[in-house]
Amino acid sequence: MTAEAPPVVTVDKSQASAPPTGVRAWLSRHPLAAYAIRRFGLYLVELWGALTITFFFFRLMPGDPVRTLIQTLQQNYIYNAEASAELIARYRTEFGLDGNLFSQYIKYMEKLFLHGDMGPSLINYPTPAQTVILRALPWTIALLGISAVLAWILGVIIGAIAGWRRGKLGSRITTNLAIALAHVPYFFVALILVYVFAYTLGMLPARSAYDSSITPGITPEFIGSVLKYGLLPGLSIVVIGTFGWILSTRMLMVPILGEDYLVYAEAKGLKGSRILTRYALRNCYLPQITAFGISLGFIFNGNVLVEQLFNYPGLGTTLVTAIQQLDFNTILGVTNIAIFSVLTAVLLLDLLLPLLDPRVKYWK
Amino acid sequence: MNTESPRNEGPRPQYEDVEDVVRYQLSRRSLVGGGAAAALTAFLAACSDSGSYSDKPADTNKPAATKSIQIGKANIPVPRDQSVIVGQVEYTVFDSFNGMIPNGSPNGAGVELATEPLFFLSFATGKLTPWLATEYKYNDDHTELTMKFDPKAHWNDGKPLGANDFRFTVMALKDRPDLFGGGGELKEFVKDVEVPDPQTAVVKFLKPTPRFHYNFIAAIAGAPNNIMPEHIWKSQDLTKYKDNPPVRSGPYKLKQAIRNQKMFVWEKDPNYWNKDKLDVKPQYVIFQSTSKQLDQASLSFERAEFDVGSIDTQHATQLANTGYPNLVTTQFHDPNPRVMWLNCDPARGVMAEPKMHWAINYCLDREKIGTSVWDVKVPPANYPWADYPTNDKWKNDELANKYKFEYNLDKAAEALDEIAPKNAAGKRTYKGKEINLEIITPAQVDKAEYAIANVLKADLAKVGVPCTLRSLSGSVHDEKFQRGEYDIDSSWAGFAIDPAQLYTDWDSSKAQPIGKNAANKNKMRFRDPKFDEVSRKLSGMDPNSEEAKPLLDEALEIYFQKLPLLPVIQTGYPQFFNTAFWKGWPTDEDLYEVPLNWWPHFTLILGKIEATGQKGPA
Repeated sequence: MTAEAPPVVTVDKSQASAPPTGVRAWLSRHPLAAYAIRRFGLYLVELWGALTITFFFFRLMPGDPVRTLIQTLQQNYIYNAEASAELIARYRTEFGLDGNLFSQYIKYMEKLFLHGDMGPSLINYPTPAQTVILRALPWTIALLGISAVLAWILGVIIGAIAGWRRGKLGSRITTNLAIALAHVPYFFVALILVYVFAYTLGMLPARSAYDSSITPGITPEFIGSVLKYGLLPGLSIVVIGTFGWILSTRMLMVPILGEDYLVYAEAKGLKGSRILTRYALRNCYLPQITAFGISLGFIFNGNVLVEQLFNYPGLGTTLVTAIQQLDFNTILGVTNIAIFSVLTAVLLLDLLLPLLDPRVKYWK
Repeated sequence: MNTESPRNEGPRPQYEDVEDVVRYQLSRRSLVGGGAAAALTAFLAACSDSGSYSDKPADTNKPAATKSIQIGKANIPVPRDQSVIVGQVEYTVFDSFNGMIPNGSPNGAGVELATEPLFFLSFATGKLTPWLATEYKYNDDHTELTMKFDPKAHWNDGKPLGANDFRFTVMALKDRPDLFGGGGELKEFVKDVEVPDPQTAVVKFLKPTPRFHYNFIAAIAGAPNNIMPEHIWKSQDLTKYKDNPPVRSGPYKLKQAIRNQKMFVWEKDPNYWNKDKLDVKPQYVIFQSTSKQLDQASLSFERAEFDVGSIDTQHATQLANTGYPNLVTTQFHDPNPRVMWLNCDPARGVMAEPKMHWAINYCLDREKIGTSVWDVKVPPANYPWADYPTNDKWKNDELANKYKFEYNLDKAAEALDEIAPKNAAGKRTYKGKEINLEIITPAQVDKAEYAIANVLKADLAKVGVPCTLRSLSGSVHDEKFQRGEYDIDSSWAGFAIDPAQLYTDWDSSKAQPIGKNAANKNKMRFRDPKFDEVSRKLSGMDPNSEEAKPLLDEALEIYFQKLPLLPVIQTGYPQFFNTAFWKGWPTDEDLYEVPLNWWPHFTLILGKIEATGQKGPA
């Protein structure tokens, strides 16, 4: 046997130094897209992780939903609620509660991702949980979503002006008022508003979402009624929410006022209003946008106390009822929607921030 | 290159003056000012008064009213002066009325106004009233029951109602233990149902039973089984059909279920079959979820936006104290007295001793509990059933005096000394082991059942019996209770139409070992052969018969001797009515019917009330 000389490997230097081709090359040429894909991958991992933790977290709650329901029915003297083992077994299977935790998890995820099915709700059996949630969601978005956006816009504008005109009487009044009221619970303000506007002055309705004599539909009459009935609950959220945003915006605004670029802008002879809107406010509203994105999660959980006070048909009340009855499918559905909304909002903000602020760059 | 900027050498611009910036940050004064403003706001809100309806001093228990009430606009789709509005719980179901599946039908939403039983039994008056059925009759050996139906009866879709519907219901449910109301007694007793004519049904039993008709009596809330219209249900899957709108036979039909208003509107059925006997007065009855915020809910009641409910005991008391002229408060005792279940299993040590049960009984200060623990003043309970007129015949005062319930810690200590004397360390021991009892309750810590247990715990400690008390949530409690993993359970008694029904559940054969689910039978693991013998005889007997009386007394005496269950207090749940639009509600002085709006008996009240003529605001 003769030893053969090892093959000579020659390296084509021109090839070695050539820029990468294919996907990697495309990504290196498009750093924004590369970042977006990476960020989206992270988003998927976060979403899966959050859904998984939530699933197991709620399953750790002590108690059996079917037995809890039967006990509630018995306490309410629903006399035929005496339940057999067959009945309990049947509905444990229906609600995805049979088998071990891991098999329950696999079944739940499979139904959720492959069929978009959150399972039947216990509080409104056999209606699917997603239907129960979707019925309540528009009311919550309409009331809490609009109120939250309105509070944010007003809060940022007033807070910026209060910071800009610090030391002036109006600014001091606004600031002190905000300190006093920003942390007052929504429902407390709501109660005062109800007492004054509904019961003392009799100007506005105190309960429900619209006039029950009007048939729901896209009609001026119905929309007018919804606005009228939503005014008091909406006002309670806007008033308190606005004060919160005023304080935080003012606190972001005051340190900015000492920056050189504002002095420069002033020295250039720009008008105060232009300096405020184009220079000062633009530098302090970015954290507020992020904070608003995160606060979206609370919107989807509903403002339970306000909804309950006004007997409003929103998601908060649905969630509380579901928790009381251990309706895992509905609880998980609401929580998952909140998780999805917050993560998606944060993802979008991450992608949008570079467009809003040229200083922000995630890629090299 | 000169790196130093000439600008930096000059005076700092005013915006960078730290002192200046700090001056405009939130100062301590601002914080104090803000805090004071918040406190003032809270103070003013707390001081706001809903006003008084009286400026006259109270010469009796209630101030005399001098002002009329301000009526609010009720948000309903029908005329206010023709409607009774009931404030109720949070509804989640609006499109299904199938009570055989979990949450397949809304509870307390007025379905009871449309659903009729075969018989009404009123705990307020003690009267059994035939309704859909005109009579029931057992054969001599209780192996056959004949039911006669009212020939006038029909469903609200106009189809006749009778024996065929009864047969359909019984036969459809008897082999369906996977449905609420299915299996159970229907499966245990029913062999077949024959229908010799449309108004007669004959139930043939597998074994004798004198109580089968109880399944069709509305005594406590609705009847255990309501008959279903065969023509509607025979082609339906009982687990899927929603029964919307519900085809029933009662004086009201569903007009609207408005999900977003959490409201059910029931309209008087002009073709109601039993108008001669029951002519309900309101054209509409509306059930609506009230605000869970109690101040808001009670304001709605105060403005007469609700006629029934929507106010709690505390707010009603406040309202009464202001002289509010339209409030009617009617006391009614719950079918379940509050009780202590005592675990009798030998595995629980000293708890198996009847003397221990008596020692615990001597530690129960029923007067104090009834006066200061429950929301309203309630009498002590001396029997394991509610103090309804219908239950008077089961009492035996001679026996009750012989085994007198009294709060007496000396007697408790004496009984304990016999079975669990104190050791050298001053601790009570049973068979060499120190005693420590476990009390559980499904009530939250702010609820009365917990407070009752706490009172007992304190008194047991005084006689040297330490206890732990735990509030357990719904099914967690149920599991421990059913598995016998407790010594004392502070909750409520089971309800029954006659005591033998109660005793049947206490049969030794139904006592499971500790750790095994009792399936709602004999949860205290009571075992007494003599009691079993008597109770088994009673189960095959008409409880109203002459021969049953001595056996009932015998069973009651064994119960008093062994005390597996300690009745504590009758449970008072006052009901609140507003007389602005409707008058003639049941009162303490004239309790002509059970005043609970979620029982079908409420239809009988709706036949008695009258409109005041008050119009609602435009």
